[in-house]
Amino acid sequence: MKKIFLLIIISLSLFKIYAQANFDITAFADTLKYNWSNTETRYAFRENLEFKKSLINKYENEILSIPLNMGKSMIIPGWGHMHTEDYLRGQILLSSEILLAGTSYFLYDKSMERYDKYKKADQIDAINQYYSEANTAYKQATLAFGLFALVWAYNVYDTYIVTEQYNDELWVKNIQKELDKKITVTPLGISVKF
Amino acid sequence: MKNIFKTAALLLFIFTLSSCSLDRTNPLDPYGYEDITVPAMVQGILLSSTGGVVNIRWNRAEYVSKYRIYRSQSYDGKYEIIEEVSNPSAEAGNYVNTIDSNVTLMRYYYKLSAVNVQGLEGPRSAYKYILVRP
Repeated sequence: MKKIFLLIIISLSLFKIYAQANFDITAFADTLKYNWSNTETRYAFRENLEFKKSLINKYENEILSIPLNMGKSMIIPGWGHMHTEDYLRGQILLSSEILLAGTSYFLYDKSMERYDKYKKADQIDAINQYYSEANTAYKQATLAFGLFALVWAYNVYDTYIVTEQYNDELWVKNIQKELDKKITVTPLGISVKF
Repeated sequence: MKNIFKTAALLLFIFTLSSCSLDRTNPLDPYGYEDITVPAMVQGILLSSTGGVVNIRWNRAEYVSKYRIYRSQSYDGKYEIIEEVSNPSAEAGNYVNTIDSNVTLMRYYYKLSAVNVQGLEGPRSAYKYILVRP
């Protein structure tokens, strides 16, 4: 058993020595492999790398979470849209929902008021009239509520689409923003665009 | 094709919602309770006036516990109950009731309705009017 164990250790050590023997330190240290012919090109490469890193950091900080945005739209319709800077659509959705919810509540209240009168009525014409009025208002209230639910569902679905689109466009937008900057500080110095 | 399905689903949704109805819970509602019989409209109303008194006559109907007499000063005005006649005097199949003795020179409009034993009031009659002189 001891022999086998010793054999394994020796084999592993030999592999290690062999691996070290194959490592090419010259190739590793060769700065020309990245086309760094001089200090300036190395700085330029670094500048480019820093730029990309900053873009990634900015993108990761500004990217919107789709589930979180959908959750916001579930609570307040249009909220998610406003986060994606689609203010008009957000406002339209929010006002539609307020309008539909208000209409639904108003009609339901009217329907219940007529229904109470119907329940107390003892004259056939009044019974029929109050029931008809209550039922019409109830149907309209149900319809308004149904539309409210439809708009709400659309609002949540649309938040998903809009947020995804926003995240896709964010990368390009950030690059454009960086490129449009008039003053930039780099390891090579300060550059100003006119 | 996809749009047709969407439209059909939306229409079905609206149709389902609009078919929701309230229950008929009024115990006097004949549509909700089959054992309720609606009293018929009061027929044969005749008005006559002598010396500020209006006599109203109408045909007698079955399964009626009382009659309600409404009056207004215009044909499309508000008709108010002026009398509930539970035991009108019988006279050759008609009932006669003197209801008003304080009227002035004016045209008065009347409507009558019958109430069954369960307390359901039937449809009000078409209006009848009479010019009353003091």
